[in-house]
This record gives sequence, C-alpha cells and structure tokens, in this order.
Amino acid sequence: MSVAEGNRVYSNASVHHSAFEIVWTNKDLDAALSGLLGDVLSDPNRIDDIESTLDGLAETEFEATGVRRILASREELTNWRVGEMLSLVYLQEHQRCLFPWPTGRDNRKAGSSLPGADLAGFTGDEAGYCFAFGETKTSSERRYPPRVMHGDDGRISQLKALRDDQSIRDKLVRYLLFKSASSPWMKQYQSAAKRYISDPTDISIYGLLIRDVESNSKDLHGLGRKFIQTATTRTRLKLIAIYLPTDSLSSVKTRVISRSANNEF
Amino acid sequence: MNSEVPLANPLLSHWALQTIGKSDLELAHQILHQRLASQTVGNQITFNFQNHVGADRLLERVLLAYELIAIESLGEFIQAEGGQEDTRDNVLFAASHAFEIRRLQEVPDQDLARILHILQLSTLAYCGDRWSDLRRWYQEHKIALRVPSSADAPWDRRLRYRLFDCWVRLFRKDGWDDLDRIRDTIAGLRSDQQRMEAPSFENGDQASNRALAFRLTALYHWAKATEIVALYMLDGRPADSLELLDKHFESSIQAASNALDPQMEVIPRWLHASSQMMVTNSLWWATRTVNSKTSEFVRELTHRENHAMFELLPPQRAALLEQGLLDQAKTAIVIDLPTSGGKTLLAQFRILQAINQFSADQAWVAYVAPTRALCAQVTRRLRQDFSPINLRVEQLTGAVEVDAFEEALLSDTERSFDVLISTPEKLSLVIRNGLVSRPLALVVMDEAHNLADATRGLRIEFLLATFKQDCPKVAFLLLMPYVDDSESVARWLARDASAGQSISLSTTPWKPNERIIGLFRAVADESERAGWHLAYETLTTTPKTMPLKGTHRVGEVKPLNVPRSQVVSKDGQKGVGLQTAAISSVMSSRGTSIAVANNIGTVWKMARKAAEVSPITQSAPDDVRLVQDFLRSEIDPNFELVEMLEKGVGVHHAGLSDDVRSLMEWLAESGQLRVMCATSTIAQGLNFPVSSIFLASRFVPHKAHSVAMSPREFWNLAGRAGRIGHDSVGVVGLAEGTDRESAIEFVSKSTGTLVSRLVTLLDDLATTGELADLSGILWQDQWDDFRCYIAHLSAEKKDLDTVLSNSEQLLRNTYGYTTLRNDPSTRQKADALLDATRNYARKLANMPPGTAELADATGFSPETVQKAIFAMRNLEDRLTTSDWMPESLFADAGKMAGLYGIMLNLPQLQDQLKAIGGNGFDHTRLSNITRDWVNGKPISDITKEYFVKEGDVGGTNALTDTCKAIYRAIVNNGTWGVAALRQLSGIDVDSLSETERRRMRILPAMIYHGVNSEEAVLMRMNAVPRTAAELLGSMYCEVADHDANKPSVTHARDFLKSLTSADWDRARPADSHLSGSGYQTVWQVLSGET
Repeated sequence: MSVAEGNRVYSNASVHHSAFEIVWTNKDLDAALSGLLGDVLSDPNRIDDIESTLDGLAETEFEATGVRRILASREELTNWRVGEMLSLVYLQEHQRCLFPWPTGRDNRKAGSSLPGADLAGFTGDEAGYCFAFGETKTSSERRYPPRVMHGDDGRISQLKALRDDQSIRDKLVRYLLFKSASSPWMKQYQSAAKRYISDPTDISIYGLLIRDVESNSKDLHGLGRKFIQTATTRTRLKLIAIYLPTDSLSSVKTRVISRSANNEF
Repeated sequence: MNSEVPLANPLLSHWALQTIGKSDLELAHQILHQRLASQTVGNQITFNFQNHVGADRLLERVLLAYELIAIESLGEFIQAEGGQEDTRDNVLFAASHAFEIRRLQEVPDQDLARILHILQLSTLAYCGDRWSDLRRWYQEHKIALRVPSSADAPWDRRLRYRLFDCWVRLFRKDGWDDLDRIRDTIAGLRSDQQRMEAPSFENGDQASNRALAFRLTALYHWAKATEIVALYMLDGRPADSLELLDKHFESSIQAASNALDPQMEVIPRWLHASSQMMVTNSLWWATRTVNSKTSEFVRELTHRENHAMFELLPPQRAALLEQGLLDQAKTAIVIDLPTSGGKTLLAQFRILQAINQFSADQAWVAYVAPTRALCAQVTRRLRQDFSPINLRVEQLTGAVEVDAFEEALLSDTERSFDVLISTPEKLSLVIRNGLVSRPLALVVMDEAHNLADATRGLRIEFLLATFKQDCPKVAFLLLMPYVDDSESVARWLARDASAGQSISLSTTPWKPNERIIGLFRAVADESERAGWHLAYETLTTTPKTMPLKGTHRVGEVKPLNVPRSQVVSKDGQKGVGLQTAAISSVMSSRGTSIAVANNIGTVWKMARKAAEVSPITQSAPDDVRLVQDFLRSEIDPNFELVEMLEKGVGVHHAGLSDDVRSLMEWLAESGQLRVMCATSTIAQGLNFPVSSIFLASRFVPHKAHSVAMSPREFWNLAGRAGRIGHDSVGVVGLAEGTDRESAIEFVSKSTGTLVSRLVTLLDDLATTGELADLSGILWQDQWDDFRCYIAHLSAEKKDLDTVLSNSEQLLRNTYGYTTLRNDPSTRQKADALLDATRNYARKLANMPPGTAELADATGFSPETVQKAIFAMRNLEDRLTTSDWMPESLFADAGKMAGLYGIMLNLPQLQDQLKAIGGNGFDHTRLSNITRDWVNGKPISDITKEYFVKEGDVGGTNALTDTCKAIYRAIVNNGTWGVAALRQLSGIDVDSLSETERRRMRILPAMIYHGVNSEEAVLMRMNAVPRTAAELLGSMYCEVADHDANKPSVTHARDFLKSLTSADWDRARPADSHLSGSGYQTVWQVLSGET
C-alpha cells in the first residue's frame, strides 16, 4: 500500500452520508511521495504530449509562437493540484474507487464550461460498481472551517449541485464514456451506467478537504444538517478531511520537482 | 429513420436499452410521436393525448441511453471510415433516436448553453443521417441560431463563437455564399490572432495560462478542420480531406484533453464524426470517380442561386455509393423511391453518365413519363438543370402523330437534342418507325409502376419490349414507388440476370418525414345552430405512419358555410366532398392542402366552398395575378377560377388545358395556393410534395363505373404529403363516408409486387375459363396494344415464318410473358399467349399487304386500320388531295365532318369522342368545333356557341365541357384520327410539291395546338399561349425569311428567347388581359426557360 490510510480522528455516519477525518504523519507523507502519489505528480508523459501538440500546430496556419512560449516553461505545481492528486490516489486505495481521469478544474478565470467534479470515475460496492464523483478543496488557512467550504463556489454548494442537479451528472456520465469506451475499465462503466440509467441517484459523491494544519472537528462538524436529503434518493455522500503534517504542502512541491529532475537523468 | 415500432429497433439488445426495458421504451416513443404531432399540427388538430406523468424524466433517461450507445461506438465509427457495419448501425440508429428527442427540447437562453445545445443537436442529426430534418429545424428556429456577439469577448471565447457561426453555416448550407463566408471568417480569425492572443495571457497565473494555451491549440485545430470541411463542400477538394480532418480533429481533442477541458473534448469528437458524414454525403464525394460532364453538373448544382444542392439524401447516397447506380455493367436499374426521395437527381446522374459514355456516337436518352403534364414538368426541370452544362432537352408533343417539325428534329444527325421527353404513345410511334437514326443509350421511365395500370399498362409493357427488341444496346432506368420485389423487373429488363439492379428505399431506414394517416368525418356540434365540426381519427394499422391512437377534433365549429344537415344526419355521413373541402381548408394554414374528389363536378363544389372560407384578405401576389390574367385571356374573363385564385384556391382536373394545369402546379409548388381541389389524376402529375392530402373517396371512375384505387395509387398520392424541407409531419386523410370498415381496410393494404397487366388480363380469363379461347378474345379493346405489338413484329420481320419461329423469343421481351413462363404454375397461361400470338400473326399475314406497316405508322391496331380504310373508301363525299389542305379542311365547307363520322366508329377513338357529352352530339358538331378551334376562336366564344346549357350559373359547367371537348377529345383523338386517316387515305404524298406536302403534314398539329399556320404551330410547340401564337408566328416568319435557317423547333425557341417585353407587347392581342411581359413570364414558366 503506497498511500497510508491514516488515523481516523473523527467519524460520523448515517444511512447515506458519512464524514471522517484522517491524519497523516510525516512518515505517511514520505511514503506516499516516494510511491504512487509522487509518480502521479511528476507525470513525465505530459512533457511528450506538449511536444507533439506544438508540432502539429503549424499546419493550422495559425501562429504557434505564443502558445509555444507558454507551454515551454515547466509546469508549476500548485497546492490544489497536489490536493487533487492526493484525493485521487487516496480514494483509489481506500475507497474502492477507480478514476480514469482527473477532469475539468473549476477555474473561474478560464470560464470553464463543465462545473461539477474534479474527479469522475467508479466506486465498487456490494451491488457492483456505481459512478463516483469527487470534489477536492485544498486549504492551508488557519480557520476552522476554512472559507473554501462555504459560499457559492464553496465545497458545500458544489457537492449539493452534484447531488441535486442531474444535468451536471448526465454530462459527466457522457464524458466518462468517451474515456471508457474500448478501455480496460469499460466493464465498470457498463455496470455503473446500468445502475445510473435505472436510478440517476444511485451514485457516490466524495467531498475531500486537504489541509496541512492541525486537525479540527469543526471542519466537518454540523455538515450533516446541510446535506439532509429526501428518502427517495440513494446517493451516498462521503466527506473526508485529510490532515497532512503542518505546513508540509510547500515542501511537497519542492520534493516533487527534484524527483522529476532526477527522473530526467 | 422510423421511430414507428421500437420492436423493429435493432438496438433493443444493447445493455443501455435493456436497462430501460421494452415497455418504457415504447412509452417513450409514443410520447415522442405525440409531442411531435402536437408541435407540428397542433394548431389545426386538437390532439387529446393522455398526459403521462414523469414523461420528461422518462425522455431524459431514454435520451441518455441512446446517446451512450452512440458514444460507445463513436470512436470506432470515426476510425476506419465507419468501421464494422454493426458499429456504424449502432451510431446511426442511436444518434437518430437521440436527435428525435433533442429536437423537441427547448433551446436554452444562455449563450454558451444554447451553442452547445445546437451543436449537439446538429451533430446527432448528421451522425443519424437526419440532415434533412435538421435543415427543417434550422428553418423553424432561426432566432436560436443567432451568433453571440464576440465584441468584448476574450480571445478563446471569440474563437468559439466564430466557429459556431461557421458550423451553423455548414449545417444550414443556405447557398454558395453562405458557405463561402466561412473562408473569410477563418481568415479573419488568423488575422485577429496577431493582436488578440498575447493579451489573453497577460493576467493569468501559470496554471491557467497553460490551460489556455492548450485550449487555444484545440481551437486552432478545430478552426483548420472547419476550413477543410467548408472548402470540400464548395469545391470538392482536396481529395484527401478525410485524412486531413482526422489529423486536425484528433489534435484538437488531444489538446483539449491536456487542457483538462471536457467540453472542448466532447464537441470536436461529435464534429469529427459529423464531418465525415458531411464529406461522404456530398455530391462531390459521390461523383469523384465519374466523368467530367457529371463534375460540371455538380459544380452547377453547388453554385446556383436558387435551391443550391450540396449533399445527398441517404437513399441517394446509398444508390450512388453502395448500390451501383453508375455501374456501367448494370444495364437495367429499377429505383423504388417515392417523391421527396430525390429520384430526379439520381436519374440526372444516370443520364449524364449515359451521354458521356456514348458521346462519340451522338447517342441520345429517352425520358418517358405517363402524362403530358408530367412530361412538361420534367422538361422544365431538366432544361433548367441541364442547359447550364450545354445539354439540350427537347419535348415531343402529346399528339399521337409525328408532325413535320418533330420529324426534322428527330432525324437531325447534328446533336439537336440529348434528352427527349415524351409520353409512351408518342415514343412508341417514334421507335417503331425508326425516326431517330442516332443510337439510343438510355431509357428513363418515370412512374413505371403504370405497368400494372388497367388502361396504359400494356402499352408501357410493349413499349419496353419494343426497346428491348429494336435497340439491343439500350440501358434502362425505371423509377417507381412502393414496389415489392422490384428485382424481378430489373432482371427482366437486363441483358442478363446479373446486370439488373434494384435500388429500394427500404434498404435505408430513412424517411423524408413522418406521416399521419386517418379517417375524417363530420360530428354534430351543439355550440351553434346547425353546428358541426370535423373529427380526425388516426389509424395505426398502416405501415410507414406514426402510431398515434385516438380521435381528435380539427378546427372550429362549422369550418364551412354549410349547415349540419349537409354533412351528417342520423343516417350517417354525407357530403364527403364538402367535408374534404372543409378539412383541406383548416389544414391549409400549415401549408398547401390538396382536396381530391373523383369527379369534376365535386371538384368545383369543393373549390367554391374553400374559397368562401379562405382567410385571405390582401390582394393576390404577382404570380397569382399573372395566372389570373392568363385565364382571363385564354379561357374567359369571367372564369370562376379567377376569383378562386384570389382566395388562394386552385383547381386541377381533366377539364382544363395542359397550360392551365401546369400553371396550377407551378403555383402550388411555390406555395402560393392554400388549397388545390383536384381529381385523382393529379397523382400522376404531381411531382412535388404538399403539406396535406385529403380524399373524399377511395373510388375512381373507370369507364362506366367506379373502382377502388389500387393500394399503389393511393400510396403514390398519399406519399406526396409532407414537404421534406418544411414539414416534419405530412397529413393524409380519407373521408370515412358510409362504410367505415372498408375505408380502414383500404388504408391498411400494402402495395405489393408489380403485376404485369398482361398477367392480370390472363388471370382474369383463366378465372372465367376463357383462357383456351384467347385468340377469339383478342379483338377486344383491352388487347389493342397487344395486337399493335404483334403487328409491329410482323412489319419488322416481314416474313410470317420468321415471326412464328421467333415468337417465343419476341414474347420474352415482355414482362408478363417472362413472369408466366418462369413460374411452373402459370406455364399454361404462357402457352395460351404464345398460341394466340402465332394465330394472330397468321391472321395478319392474311390481311391486305401493308396493314401491319400502316398500323405502325398510324398507331392504330390492324383491325382499326382495316375498318378505317373501308370507311374512307365508302365515304359519300370522298376526299381528294386538295381537300386535305388546311385551307380547305378547316373552311366552312370543309369535309372534316366526314372524317369525324368515321372516327366515331373506330374502336380506339370513339369512346373518348363520344364522352364529350351534350345532346344530339354528332360528327358535324365535332367538326365545327374543331374548325373554330383551329381558326383561333376564343374558348369563351366556343363555349357560348356549343356548350351553354339552361340553369348553368356562372357557366362553369359549360366551360368544363368545352375544355374537356377540346383538350381531351379533339386535341387527342381528333389529331390522332385526322393524322391516321390521312395516311390511310391513299393520297400519293410524293406527287405533291414540298410546300404542299408540308402544309398537309402540319394539319394534325394545327388541330393539336389550335392554330392555323405553321409558324404558329412552332410557337405552340414552344409553349407559347394560344392567344399570342398567331401574331408571334408571323413575327417569326419575318425573321425566318431573312435567316438562312429553316424554321425548326429549336430555331423558334432561340427566336423566343431573344424577344424583349416590347416584342411580346406587339404580339399580344389588343384586348388581352395579359400584358406583353405577362405573356413573356408565362412562356418562361411553361417552357422552363428562366
């Protein structure tokens, strides 16, 4: 196991949703970085993609220099990308999830057109597989709960949208099929899709909060009330807070970069 | 694509649909049909469909399922240009169904959502082969298609909006300019990039800039792909467009994936698949390996201003790309497509190929259509389409005789025509008498299902047999709708079995539009005194129609100004003609309706009532005004039809001249008539669709009594309901009348295979036990064409023994005999026919020498020839040579009466002549009318003199009688009779001077055209209205005198084309209601010279 399960310090469960907190020690973090998480973050393949992208651009008869300049510089690693990848890896290890793709990010500046989920994939359960959608927020803020939880763009609103707005999920389901057809996970897709067609609420939603501060139950406290749902919906909602060692996020970036540098030689 | 019966849905076993379940799926389809019907016809018909709870959610689920099916296979679909057939079908069917659901959804308001909705809808349409439906949707939702302003938009959004603009144009294809603008737009984007790209990176952090960079890459590739598609649509180049599209779309998708932007990934995938469909649908693609003439034609079609064409309908594409329409090894092709299936274009391609293949031999193509009206329509269409590429299209008159001008045209060794359009009777004369020395490359026969028709079936069958016999190298193209097993027809016609090909609509699931069929009746309505309203009951027992159950109300109370008692009483339904007029009027608010009755009197009644309730208040548009003036001049200033046209009501039946009928069709085709009231003959003349068709009765007159229409006739008519470009749903109705069960049964019958008339006749004889005595029955009328055929064979072979020993072979040229001979259970009939043939050949050999040749020359049967010769010899006042000159024959003391006297006793002519009606009818009267007609008497005067009756208010009945007398009896049979009798008169034509010979030979044409000079005949042959023909003729005469060229049909047409409106002004009668330019416009419409 390359990603630690961590210690549960808080847990609250009911029929459809549960919330728990996990704390990682430095050792846990180290292990993760030298293993799968580190792989995912350094992702050497992406460099090749860029080269081939730029090669073809000239044939469009549009100018390629501007794009080339932007893409030439090495990609910086942001906190939220670390958080996203950590969530992905964690859920795949410990929640029987499978995410073929990290999906569109909620980038207000670029005017992204598909709001909804950072992660889209499948979860295994006793009935087979169902669709799994995940939202991640990363915050180093010393507020409990941090501001990213609330507001129109906050995690709570996003999760509610995922649960309540079928059209958002429908779009994700279609997009997932583009990524799943003729792939090794088509079986999982089919199983999840059948259940979804029969009942579009038969899905799992994960809300993750990645923090490099002291754990505090106020982060997840009282969220149960905010997610009361009707009896007819079968959506399972899991809220997970992962606490990394204090202030460790900035060091993660450095460690990944040096690891990539090592890989290149 | 039919969403009629999900049971036929090949996707049923797919896991996504299995999850939905059969009954939910059926329910969803039913809801879809109901919504479509409500949306498209709901203003006229008050549907009372049951409301389904949760309908919207169900449709969303089904939509998701279908789209998932399509997405699952989309990758494969794109890859190997379609991949396996299963894959292709999955995408096709699923996308088509998904399209049907999405097209009924509301379009979102917000710009981005709206754009996505439209692009998704459009790509589904293309992947599901529903582009014609999409065009309609685009017509109906113009506001939704507006491109958002990109004025202050950031660079990537600007790109997106502009690309949306381009794709709207690509999907809409509103003409050459519409598509050409795409090039400018993309070029504009390239130039915009220089100042707009850099600033868009200024305020972003690294992550968002990288995302933007990838997104822009995706957009630039998408733009390039867009440009490639547009260029191919316009010019058919470059040849490797598909490969280029693959490259750029894939790059776009890859870049979008790197940008982690799902939206940008999804749309290009759909567009990629759609682009492939668009390219392979295009006219360029389908004809890329064909000759240059065809490429020229395609260039014309893509560039022309009106009705530019760029892509093929699915059945057309199937015919060209998959079913070997242009395969030169296929010598006989049968195309089974109804109107709106686009058969004319297919015929055009085949014609071009044939001409190209044999261009060194100066070969020609014959196009046969069953009626003069259809011939005229086809001539106009082919002339419009082919003259830009220098192909000459000529039409032979419907007269069953070949006049001097026609003969000159036919025997011209220079290429005076490439395509010749004619009725079967006329072409028969031409072929049997070997009047064209150039080789015949192709015969196109339209409405070829008339092979089974009671009156003209044999004639057509023997015409085809004659082609097979006399022109061994000729290829065939038969166009006919709704025929099962058309392969057997193809096999019969082909030189060998493998050279026959049948192309059928049933090979593609495509339909031009949906159709509703039902019965209508009048129902008492107490909300008003003597009130009633119409009820329409949809029938679900018929194939090819929307399965909607229920009875629904049509329109308001009292849709016509008649009391309840005239349409319904306690004894049941009555006044079906009135009911038909009523429902046609109500439905006309969505597009032209045709109201069909089975006799002319009812047609007039319907038209009057429809005009009464017409909502039109403003004055008539120019085209209608033109036709009104024409009617005033050519028929009568007080002709009832003039007023009806003011109200948007037209009329179409055999009691009108060809010209008037053509003009009615012209108005209807351009949507300027609300209601057209017609007899069922309109089925043969209607080469274009309308929105709705209603029949008062399923019976049609046949000789002395009525018979029910054959299923094929009915479906041929019903098939015209629903204009592919405008109506998602065509509506067909039959009056319930007094026998509801029979009406329902009638509508449920399918059309079946095509049965040779020959076979039918023999079957009938077998049933009555008379088969053994076939030889004794052959003298009867219905065997006329058979006898003519044998006579032709005898005339050809000249030697009885040859005929006898070849008779089997010769009979095998016919469809009927081949069918009978091939089936063991019918060999007996085949034998009977063979026997009868030989016996008849022997009989012919015993007739006076030259009888068979005269039969060929005149079109009479040998028996009629004999009778005629005998009668001519026994005339009290026999005709001399000078009597046959027009000046003499058409003078007051002329001897035409004697000729009519003979004609009234000749089997092939008498029925029509006697049917003129009126009291004390005789040969003198016929002769007088003919004389007046030739000498230019206006129709109104002829009516007053010969046809007015007591109590005929408005004189319409008299006018109808006049027109029937002239245009049916005299123009057809008078012409034929006079021409034939002259040939049988024994006059030695060679002893005459050339002028005298010409004058004598032009005589029948004068009767046909109603003029008394050669030049006027030439004018009339070129579609000049009768009232201007004489004056124009003399103008032409002056010009021809100065010209070295001899007067001819083509020379006359050139003359007419060169005239200005001022010239036409000089040619019109002073008191005519039509102005000079009015005449000119009418002439242009009728001749196709626009």
